[in-house]
Amino acid sequence: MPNRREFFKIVGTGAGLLLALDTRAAGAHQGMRSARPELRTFAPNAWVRIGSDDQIVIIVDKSEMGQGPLTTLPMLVAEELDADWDRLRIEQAPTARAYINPALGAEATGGSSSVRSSYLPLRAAGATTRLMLLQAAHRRTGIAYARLRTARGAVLLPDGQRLSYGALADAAAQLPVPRHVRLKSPRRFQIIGRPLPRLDTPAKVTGRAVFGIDVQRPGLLIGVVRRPPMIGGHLHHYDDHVARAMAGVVHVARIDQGLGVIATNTWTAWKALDAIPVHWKDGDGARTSTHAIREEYRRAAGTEAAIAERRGDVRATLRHAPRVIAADYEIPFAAHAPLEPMNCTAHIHDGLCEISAPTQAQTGAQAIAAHLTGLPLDRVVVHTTLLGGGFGRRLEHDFIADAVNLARMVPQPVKVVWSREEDMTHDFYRPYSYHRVQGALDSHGMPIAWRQTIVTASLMRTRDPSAIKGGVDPTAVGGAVGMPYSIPHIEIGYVERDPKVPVGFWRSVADSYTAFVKESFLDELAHAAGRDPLALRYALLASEPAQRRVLKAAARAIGWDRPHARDQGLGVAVHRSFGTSMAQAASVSIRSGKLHIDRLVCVCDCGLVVNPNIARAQIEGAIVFGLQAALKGPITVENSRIQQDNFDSYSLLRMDEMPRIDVHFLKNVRAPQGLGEPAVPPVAPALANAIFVASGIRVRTLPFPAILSHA
Amino acid sequence: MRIVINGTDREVHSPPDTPLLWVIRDEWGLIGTKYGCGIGVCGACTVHLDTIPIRACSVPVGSLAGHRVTTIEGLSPDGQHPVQKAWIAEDVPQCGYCQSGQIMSAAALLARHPRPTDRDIDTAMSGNLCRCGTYARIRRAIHRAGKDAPYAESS
Ligand code: FES
Ligand code: FES
Repeated sequence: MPNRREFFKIVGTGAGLLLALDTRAAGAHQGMRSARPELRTFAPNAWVRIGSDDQIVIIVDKSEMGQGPLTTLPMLVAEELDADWDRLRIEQAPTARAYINPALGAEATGGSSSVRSSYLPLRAAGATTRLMLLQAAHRRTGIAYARLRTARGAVLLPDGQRLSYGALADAAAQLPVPRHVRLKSPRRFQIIGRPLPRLDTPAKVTGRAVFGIDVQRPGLLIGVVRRPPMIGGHLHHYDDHVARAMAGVVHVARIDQGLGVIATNTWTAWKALDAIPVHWKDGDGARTSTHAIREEYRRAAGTEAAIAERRGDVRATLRHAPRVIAADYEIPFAAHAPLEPMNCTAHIHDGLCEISAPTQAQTGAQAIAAHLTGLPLDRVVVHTTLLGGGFGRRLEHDFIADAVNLARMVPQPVKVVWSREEDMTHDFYRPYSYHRVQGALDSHGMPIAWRQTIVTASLMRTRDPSAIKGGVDPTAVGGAVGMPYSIPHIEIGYVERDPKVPVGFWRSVADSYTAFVKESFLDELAHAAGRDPLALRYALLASEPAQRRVLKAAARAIGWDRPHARDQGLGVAVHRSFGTSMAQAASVSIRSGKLHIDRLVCVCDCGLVVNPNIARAQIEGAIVFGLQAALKGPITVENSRIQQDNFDSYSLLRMDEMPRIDVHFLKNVRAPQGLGEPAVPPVAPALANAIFVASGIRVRTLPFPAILSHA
Repeated sequence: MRIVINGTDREVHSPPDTPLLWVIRDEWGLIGTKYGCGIGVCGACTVHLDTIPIRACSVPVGSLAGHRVTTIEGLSPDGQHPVQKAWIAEDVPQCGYCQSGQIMSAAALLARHPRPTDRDIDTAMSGNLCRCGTYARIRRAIHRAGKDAPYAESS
């Protein structure tokens, strides 16, 4: 698996960066030349194609699930290429080695890595292309490089004449791809940093945008599936004679642990599925429930944990400290619930498996299809559609497998569409976690010890157990390790427990729960010591200037020092995840036990902001995501069955529940950091801390109770 | 039976118990109207029945003979309905999946209340869920489309 080092070697720095571009990336589009013989194409790398007709195509190798790569990634290329932003064509990448995400080791979109991992490679792709076009212009005109300029898709000659990139494409294509290229200094950026409108908006406001569920193919059939309602269960027996006789029903079959129906349209397929009496069988093992999982985890919190992080001697300090405070926290299962349910279209024909899917994981989709069909990888083609939300759910490939399995039974293409009920009850949920925290204060009321035991599932156990080191799954403890507060004695422990509920990566992963515990419990320590929670954070963040800065700005914006009403409370939380420091401040009031969020302020330091319009939308959206998980849900289990199956029992935040949200970015020219996820973790603790001030009630479980009262 | 869909009189071949949503999507191939929940609680399937916004997933097509149905594709001939223009100006969509339904609900609201208050917006739009959290921009876009006094935007 190539890593970023193999792709790019930084060979020196000057006014800009000098990069060596790995030419293996080049040629990914060989064989994609146009059918028009007179059209010549210049494709020096996997991300740019320039036709002699002056059409510049930029290839985007990340999935568009709302976070904006169809706009932000081309901005990186266009900036260095000096392309005409208004005349670009954007294409979604096919599966190819060149598109492996160095941050993830696969062609995949996640970990808030799209812009971060593309920032240098895509700029280098643009800069290389521009350099070759310049060379072609120099050869054609004999004019020295120093006197040639580029702008809006053309090389400009000293006499004002324009040589369009298209006119130079054929000549440039004959040149060797340069190994070294100089990137622009950020001071000279003309596209990066502008709040450009999203390129996909026009299609999304007219209904023309094609999501996975919208894929059309000649002869397309619809597949629907029903999995066992109980976790770990399987299909025992079914009677399909009524269903098979229904007009429009093509096929009924077992797939995976459940049942699939293929029909000529969606409604017929669902009706047929409903007409099949099914007997399910429990899995081995005992039935599980939220209650049983909680009891088991609570007990496990008292057992010896694998050490994820250790600083000083926590145990001795806790024994001898003048004051020790302890608390247990728990954070529930949560569903991804993207608005577009799981779906995938597959067509197996001519020794080829063609997949069209809203997927975050092209490499994984390709691998599972190859595995199921027995075809070699290069006979599996994955077309990525638009994604109606992802949030980590579409890193999985269960829905891809459904489509491939059903497509194997018929010659036609099959589009599998999950019902909302299927989607919600067969998610890979954000894992439930249980935390035991102890903190010690010295005689001045300063925290001197912090011990936390995290009990939760391991996401890597089934995915890549080699990632688990010394009993610690890093994806389970992210955000708890690397404790930013300068507390001399720290111990973060991990106890792995399998809840027997499918779990997965949920927007911001472990940080979604570790930040809640870290920021809430630090507040508990502050209040126990009679200290201002904000001042205590400043004191403990002396060596974390970025977190101090965002915190300060958020506190100022919320009016931390201004007097407020009796039932009103202010709270703050600060957390760094995916490279981004994020502070949030909440102003709430509690009236008759009901929570009213007056205002939320978010201050973000995410390095250079490539597109402020899209960045702001990402933060707004992530805050709403965090609010939903703080106020609504949870996903619960009873008798091994998920209890919530649609948006009536698992509700999302609604328009009328939206608080006022203010978002601020701190200026920074450091390379861009993650943006899609880091605004989720601070929401719940900022609110919980404000609730405590307003009511004296410390909330240690999510979601917050509907009525806040002293139990 | 026949229905007027986006101004065109069309025959319905699906059985009468088929929800309008699946006639729109599967029979007529109008993919802008989305499936989100199938039980009338998410709003992704919102279309206009005559001038009223309805949840197409929860209305059997057999009950609609002779009615006029408008989907996102028929809202304007060129994508330039004032609501669509406002959505572009505010760059509302993220994933975009809910947006056809949001726009259809907003267009119906603005047809009744050209200058809706925040409360009007809350009432009219609370049945349209957006998992991506575009609500603040939706509100701004509705005010913009209604040519209201500049909405007190926070930033
Ligand atoms: S799909 Fe009709 S309201 Fe959700
Ligand atoms: S934009 Fe994604 S659900 Fe609304």
